[in-house]
Amino acid sequence: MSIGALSRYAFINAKLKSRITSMLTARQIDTLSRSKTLTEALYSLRGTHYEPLIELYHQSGDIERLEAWLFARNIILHQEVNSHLKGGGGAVVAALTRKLEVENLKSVIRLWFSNRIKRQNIDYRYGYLYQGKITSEIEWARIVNSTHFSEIVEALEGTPYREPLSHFSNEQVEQEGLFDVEITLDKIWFNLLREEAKSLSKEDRSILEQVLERDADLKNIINLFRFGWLYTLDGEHLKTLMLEGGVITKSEEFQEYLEQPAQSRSPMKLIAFRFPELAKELAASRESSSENLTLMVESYLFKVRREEYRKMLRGNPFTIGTILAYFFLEERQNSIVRTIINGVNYGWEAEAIEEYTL
Amino acid sequence: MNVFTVPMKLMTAVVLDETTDRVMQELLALGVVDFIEVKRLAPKEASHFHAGESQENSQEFTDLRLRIETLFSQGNIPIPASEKLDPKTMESLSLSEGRGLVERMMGELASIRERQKQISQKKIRVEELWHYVEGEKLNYIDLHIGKTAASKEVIKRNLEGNAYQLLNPQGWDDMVILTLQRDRAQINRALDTLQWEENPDSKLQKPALLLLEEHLREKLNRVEEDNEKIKGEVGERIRREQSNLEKLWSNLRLQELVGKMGAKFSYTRNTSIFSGWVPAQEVATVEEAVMEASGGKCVIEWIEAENMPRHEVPTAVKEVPLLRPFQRLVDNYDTVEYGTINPTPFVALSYMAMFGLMFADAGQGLIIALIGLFGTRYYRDRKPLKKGLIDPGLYQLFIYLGISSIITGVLFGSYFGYPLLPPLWFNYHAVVEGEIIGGRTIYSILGITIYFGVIIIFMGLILNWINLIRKRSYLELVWSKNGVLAGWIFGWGVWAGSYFVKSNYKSFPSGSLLPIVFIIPLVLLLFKIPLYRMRDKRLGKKVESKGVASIIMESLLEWVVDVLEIFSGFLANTLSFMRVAGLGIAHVSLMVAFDQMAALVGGGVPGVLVLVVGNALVIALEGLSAGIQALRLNYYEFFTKYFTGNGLSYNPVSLRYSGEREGR
Repeated sequence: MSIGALSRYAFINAKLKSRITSMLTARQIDTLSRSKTLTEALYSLRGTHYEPLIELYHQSGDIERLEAWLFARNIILHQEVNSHLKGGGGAVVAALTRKLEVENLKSVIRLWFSNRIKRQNIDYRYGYLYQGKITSEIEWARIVNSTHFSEIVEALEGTPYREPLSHFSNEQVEQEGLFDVEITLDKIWFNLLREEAKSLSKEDRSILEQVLERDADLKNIINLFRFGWLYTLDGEHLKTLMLEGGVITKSEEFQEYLEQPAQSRSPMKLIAFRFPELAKELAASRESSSENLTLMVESYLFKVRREEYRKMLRGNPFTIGTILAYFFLEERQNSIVRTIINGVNYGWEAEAIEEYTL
Repeated sequence: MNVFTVPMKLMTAVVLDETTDRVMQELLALGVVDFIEVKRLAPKEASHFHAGESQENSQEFTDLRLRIETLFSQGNIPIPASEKLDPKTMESLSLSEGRGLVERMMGELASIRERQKQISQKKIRVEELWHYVEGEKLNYIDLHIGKTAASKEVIKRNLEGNAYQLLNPQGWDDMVILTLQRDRAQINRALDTLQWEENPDSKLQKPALLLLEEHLREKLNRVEEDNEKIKGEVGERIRREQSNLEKLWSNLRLQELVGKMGAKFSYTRNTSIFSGWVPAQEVATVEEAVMEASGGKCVIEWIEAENMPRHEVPTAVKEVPLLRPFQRLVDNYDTVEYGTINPTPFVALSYMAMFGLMFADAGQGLIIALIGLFGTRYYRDRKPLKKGLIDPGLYQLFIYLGISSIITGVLFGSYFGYPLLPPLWFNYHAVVEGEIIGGRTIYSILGITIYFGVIIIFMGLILNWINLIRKRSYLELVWSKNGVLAGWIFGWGVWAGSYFVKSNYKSFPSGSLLPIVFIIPLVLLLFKIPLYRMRDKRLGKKVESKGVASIIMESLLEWVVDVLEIFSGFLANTLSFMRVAGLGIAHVSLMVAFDQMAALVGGGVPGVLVLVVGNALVIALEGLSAGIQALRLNYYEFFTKYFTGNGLSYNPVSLRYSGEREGR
């Protein structure tokens, strides 16, 4: 371990480890999901990092503001971690933060799409979206108020999103929807992160590249399963959805899968090639609904990611691993809180909520 | 003051079934019995009893109580004080009625919140328009100036679902409608329906925008006021039911407590049997209460704690209010074992002495004491919002630590880093800066702290020996790692070490005394394993049968480990106290550095500012550091000598309420 790594990560590692220990416990999550009303759920968050939600709800009575706060919190956490890092680590955290920017951008473009293309009334909904700076200078209001997709592209001048999105025309978006636009945006942040990884030290680079390789495989397998098997997308289109990296897209099984007619594809071979345990689970499962099988795959892959991040936490503390694990855990915790407050608000049973928070 | 834990007695009582409820209420009001299950006391006999009615409602009571507490929090109503709980007035509780009240209120509050949500959305609409008007983002908005025969209500109805502002300026023939450009398609349709006649005069645009900006600002204020009103409605609605809710909460709390108590009761056909630990000084009161509640128809038996296994007796300590901050330090470590010494007064002494030696400055001590005093006064009338680090206990501790620093500061003649008054002992600053005062050098400071450490360690050993005598653990008293033999080795070791230092690190005491005083305990330590085995056999404990050779081997191995642990352990423990000198020296060095910095800026006001900031930094950082190090020394060097922490905490069923989300 180099002195550089020690000085770079010692403080942030201690800070993040202490934050991780003060995350919601399983018991708190259980209490939260068993709440009878939203107010009770929120009050059970007293003394946790989510306590401001109580005041926010008291101020507005508006659950969507709570969700917006959760999203903003995640951005602030990323920016805070970034402010404690110098050099390569900081640039990588900024690239990780870009994921949130892409999420926000997708939401704003979706609103624009509903309003301009589908002629739906979006009313106050834009107010819930994050409108500050995340990583790039983006005039969000200009995007949501654009009359044409090309105006959105212009609004993204000076950001890495402009060029790839300039290949889409208004007519294309109107006819095909936003699916490909969103996939393009996902690829942008993923590729930017890969680029940034190159600036890291050997050990950090190896950790991050491992994560990216694995994430590429996970995301690709989900897309191949969901869009290739469930929605029977044609091979060429399917290929464009694939993220760079991982072993799946380099395999023969992948080529075979693409070449097969959509109706006769079986993703089992692909899964068995990369995740034999999952293939066994699916084979043993009596589940026949393709939707539920897809959920099974997603749930398994999520567990794989979780275990990998846990391993990182147990490993060398003076690497980027702690930061990656922290972001993963925070994101997961935010998502649990968001799911539960929505579930409780809509009167779901605790058991049903728990299924979604696993 | 009794330094030992509070003596306890175990009560076992039998009362008639018909008087059980009254007895429970009386015992609840007293709140001193830590109930245990009868079957733990007499497992065989207990098989003939049947357990109390299952507390199937217990979780529901807790859930409902917690829901009421959420209502209290929303209405800013404090949870009823335990003094308001009267077990004698406890009524039978209709859970469905209670639940009905809470559900009704939650429903009403939900509809208030729904209105609040609509206001929140209205605010978003107005805010967006206001941002664009105020920021002159005119390409995002559409301004319509014109006329229509339709009434305002009809216009509003047609524009509903869109962000808009309608204005009928005084003295204008036209109306002004502000909308979002992105809603143009829908708005144009609506305006067509309204037969809107647009005024083509573009000069009207600017004044219209100014009016709109003003109007939107006012509107935002109005929306905010409406929101405040709605928030007030929530509190008002809850407060309207305050007395019913308090009554229900109290009843639920009492039912929960009675349920908790009842779960430990056993029953025969006509009687109830219960058992629990009571502090010896409360025995007469408890007996009287049970007698009175049962009309004298009861049997009560008391068992002395000494006749029960020590690990089953709960520990209560007599709380001395003045020493409360130190009691907290002890509680944070662990629970004291029954019948042993409560370390609190000793911790108070050692903690203050350690802190004072590390932070010896009368001026800075005074500041810490004043912060403590103000903090304590501040919290006298206010309850801390939640249990945490910054609370009245911490401020009380500040007062003690401040006093300790004042005393040591006066001893060493340090006042904000300056020798304003002559020291009562010696000038610590001067010695640290290299002067030799009365033969004292910086090494003397290290020596003082090491001797201080020796005193603390010996104090720990003596407390341990007292505990072991009280526990009648005579073998451990002599042979354990903190026993008399280890103490003997440590004592002579200190003597030898001090001789070595005095000889200028050249020689140890000559003659046969030193070898003899070490050889005797070392030889005696060899007998530890055989003696322990004999004792265990005599007490009927299961002892693994072994041959002589095996016992000798085990004794030798244990001996090696013990000797290593005693020598290295005591040496490390003693040297650990050098940190006291280290922090004291660092404190002086920092003050000297700030003094030099003040001189570098040329004194005067900037110099005073440097000194003020320097003192503040030293108080905050050095103070924190000294506090933590003193705690560490207490926990690791002092407590490990005598504090086993094997105690069971005393938890009587009482009306006292922790205020946390108890029950979850």
